This record gives sequence, structure tokens and C-alpha cells, in this order.
Amino acid sequence: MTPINYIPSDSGLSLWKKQESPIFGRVSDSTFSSSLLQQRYVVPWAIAGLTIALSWAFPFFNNRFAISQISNLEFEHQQYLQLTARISAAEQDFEQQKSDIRRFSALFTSSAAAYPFAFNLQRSVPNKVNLNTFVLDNSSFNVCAFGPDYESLEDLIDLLKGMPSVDPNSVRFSSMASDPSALGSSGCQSLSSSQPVSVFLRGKFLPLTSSDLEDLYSAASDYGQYNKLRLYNALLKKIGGV
Amino acid sequence: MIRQYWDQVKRRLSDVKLPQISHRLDFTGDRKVFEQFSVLCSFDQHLVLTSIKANQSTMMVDDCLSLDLPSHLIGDSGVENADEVAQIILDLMEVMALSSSPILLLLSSSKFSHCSFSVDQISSWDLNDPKVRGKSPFLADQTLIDFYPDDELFSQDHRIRGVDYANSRFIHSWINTLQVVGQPVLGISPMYTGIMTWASNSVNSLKNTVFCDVEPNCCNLILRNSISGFSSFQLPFGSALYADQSNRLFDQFLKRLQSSLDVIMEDRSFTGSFQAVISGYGLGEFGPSFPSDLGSWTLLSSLTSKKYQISNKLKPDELSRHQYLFPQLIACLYAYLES
Repeated sequence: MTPINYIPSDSGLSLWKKQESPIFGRVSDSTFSSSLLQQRYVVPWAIAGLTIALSWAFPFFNNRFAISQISNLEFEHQQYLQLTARISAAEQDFEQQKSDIRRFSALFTSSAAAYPFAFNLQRSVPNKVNLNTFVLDNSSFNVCAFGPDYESLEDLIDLLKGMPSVDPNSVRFSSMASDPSALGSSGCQSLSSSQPVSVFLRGKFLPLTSSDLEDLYSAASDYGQYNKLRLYNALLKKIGGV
Repeated sequence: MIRQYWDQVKRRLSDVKLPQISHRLDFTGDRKVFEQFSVLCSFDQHLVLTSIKANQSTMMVDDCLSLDLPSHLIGDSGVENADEVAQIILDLMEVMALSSSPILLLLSSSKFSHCSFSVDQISSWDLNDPKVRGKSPFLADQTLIDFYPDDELFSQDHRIRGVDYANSRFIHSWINTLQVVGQPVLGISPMYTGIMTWASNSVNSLKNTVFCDVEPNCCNLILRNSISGFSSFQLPFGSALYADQSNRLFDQFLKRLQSSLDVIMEDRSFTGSFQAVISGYGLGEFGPSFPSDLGSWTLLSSLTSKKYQISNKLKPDELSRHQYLFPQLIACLYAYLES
């Protein structure tokens, strides 16, 4: 039964309404809510259950997140590995090619001094001197020359020493004779300065690099070799030299 | 070791008066969900604010504070300074952590009057009916009337209907105070409204009941006869006259109460047995001399003890002073929550 209440309807007071109460309202009238709210074990058990569920769910979702991140990055990682392998293979190939190019220098420098030497020799032989023979190999030369006197042969020797590809300190007489038939014999002869003289000269070429050869070929007017060497030297300079 | 540490933590938390953390963490206790109500009572200048937690199965008197206010704040005719009294009530509510709780205002039974009419006597239940107004102890233009049961529940089956009278100035002064307080309000009722609802329930409806609400300066009797309904009577003596350290004075009080009741019974030609129930704020004034044997009277607390419990944190002096008031507060709040 409604209790005696003296609050008039137009009092202006805000009235407590049972229907709006969280405990006594209509919602809590249902058996489910009231029984749930009145049980002392519901909240602790709910907290315990939530803790257990979260203790499983948090590592699970964390793991799933990590797996998805890995799968997202795996393709890029494989691409990276492939590219690095290709780059290292290309670098190895490049180094091999540079090594090959450097090895080509032997092809240019081996026996290379012969032509410039012969070119310069024929242009620097004095008028009175005749060359009987000359023999060239990779690193040295032997020249047999005949002159009317010793002085003209001295000019030849000075010219040989002044050649750019010849080591001046290596130029030697191997034998000298007034009679060409006596050359190579072990006997000693007396020579006068006005007598004709035959002489064996030998010497060594300077060790030549491809850049030295470039100048030599240019001076010897061998433009075919000069152009090859120029390109090769430019290429060698680009890959860092010999 | 963990238990010792936990007990120590709880003790420290309770020492520093943190807002109920130690109780909220106590999973081993009774963790039911409650709604908190502020029950405000006024007896003359004595103001009592009680915090009651309630749910659908039980109630708990959680805390209580009381004040004696000077007469320029609360006088004989109601609240004299609504703003000041409202501020005092707000301060009390803040101290008791009731800032968002709805308020039930219960006023001294001596400020109201109740009588019942046979349905045959009244042609129309109009507030301006002269027969109805004629029983009012207040001036005609200062009378507020409330029917019991109200219009919604009153049906043709009822043979009797109660009419309650109050002084309009007195009630409006309290309405003004509650407007300043600004909290939701359950209602403004006389202190005996709870016992009337209790006596009207299906278990007690066939019994004749007399209820005595003891106040310091008067005793208010509510008689319920199954034929003639509820009637209120006021006796010009209260517990203040007899409050002493001896049982002898309390016996005299009971004798005088009984003889007064007999006179009323004889005057009203009530016969048969009555269930006599006694309670009220005034009984607390008897203090430790309060006897266990009350003769034919039964304490309301013994009838309603299953419905409520009292919190351990209630101060001993407040408990001893208001222990006979709490059953009435519980009965009134219960009447509102069950309606």
C-alpha cells in the first residue's frame, strides 16, 4: 500500500522513481538480474574467469600478430636475399672482368719493344755505318754493325743508348774486330782509329708499361697499336689501374 | 604470512578512513548490491540523518549522525531558515558520503493527525468535504490532507478509508528546504506511516494493533481496529519526564501509558485483544536502565529484526541513542520501496 506522502505533484522537487532505480527498478525485477546481483560469488568468479581468459587470449593474439607480421615481411625478405645474391654475383663477375682486363696488359707489353726499337734503329743508324745483322728477343737485342772507323761506331752506340726503350747502362760491346771474319774469335788485335771496325753490341730493353708503350707507338707512328693501347689504357684507368 | 600481511593492509586502510576500499576488496564478506538512501528525521529541534543501504532482500543501517538545532533554524511551526538548514543537511550528507543518495524525510508523528471514516459516511472523497475537513486539528486554510489508501488504490472493496492531516506551513517549510538540498526525494511522511503499512500487510491485517511512538515530549498512539481502521492519539507526556537511571521511573512511564491507553479504549469502545507495539526515538533516552521486560508491549525491533542489520561502523553513542528509532525508519523505507 502506498505510504502517506505529503509531497504535492507541483512541489518542484525531483522525485526518486522506483522504476529508474538500478536495484529496485524494472530491470532488476527479472529473475536473472536479481539472482545475479544477489550472488556473492558472481563478481569474484567473473574476475577470475576474465583473468584466465585474458592470460590465454593476450599471448594468443600477440602470437597471431607476430605471425602475421612475419608473413607480411617474408616476401620482402626473400626478395632482399635474391637481390643481394645477384649483386654479389655481379660484383664477383665485375672483379673477374677487371682482373681479365689487367691480365691483357701482358699481351700488349710482351715483345712490344721490338717494333719501336727497329723503327728507331733504322732511323738513327749513322750514314757510314752498316748493319750486318740484328737479333731481337723479348728483353734484349744483339746488333752486328760495320763502320769505316771507330768514331762512327761510337755515334751508333750513343744513339742506341739514347733510344727511349733501351736501358743505357746495359749497352755493351760483346766483341770488336777490324776484320769481320775475326769477330767472335778469342784472340786480341790491335786497332787503329782509322781502320774499319766490325762490332757486336748487345743491350736490354727497359721494362715497359702499357702507358710507356703508348708514347712509343705514337712516336713510331704505329697508330693501329697506339689506338688499341689508348683505349686499353683508358679502360685500365677507369677500373683503378693495374 | 600472506594472510597476516593482508590483515595488516586492511587494518591500515580502515585506519586512514579510505572510502570503503578495504570492504570492497573483501571478497569473503557478503557482497550484495545495495542502493543507499538518506533518511532524514526531525523531532522538534533534533535532526537525525541515517544512511540505509537496501536491496530487495535486506536493509542495513550504515551510518547515523544527529544534531540539535537552535529554534531560529527549526521552530515549532517548521523550518524557520530553509537555506541554513539545507546547508546543514548537505554538510551532513557530504560527511556521510550521501551526496548522491535520495532522501526520505520523516517528521515527528506529533505533527500529524490521523482518523478513519466509514465509506458510508462520506459521499465523495473530496479534499473540501466539510466532514473530512472537520476532523482536522489545524486551521482550515492551513490543513493538508492525504487519503490512505490514496485514490489509485482505493476501490469499492474498502469499507474504511483513512485521512491524514498535516499543517501546510509546516510541510511547505520542509519542501522549501528539500528544494535547496536538491537531491531526489522519496517522500515526506509522518513517522508512523511505516507501522501503518506494516499493520496493513496480509499477515497483520486481521489483528487489532496499537502502536506507540515515544518521543521526548509526547507519546503518539496509532490504534488500528479491523472494523474502524487507524486512529491517532497524542499523549501529553514523553520519555523526557521519566528518563533516569532507575527502572522505577520507566515502570511508571509504562503504567501511565497503559492507563492512558485504557482510557482511550474505553472512550472509543474498543474491545478485544490488541497487539501492542512500542518504539520511538524517545525510548533511547532511557539509556542503560531500559528493561528487557516491557509487559504487554512488544518492541518493534523484535518484530522487524529479520529485515535489517546494523553496520559495525556505527558509533556506539549514536547506536544507543537511536536504536529504537531505526526499526521505524526501516519500516517507513520498506513501505516506500514495496509500494
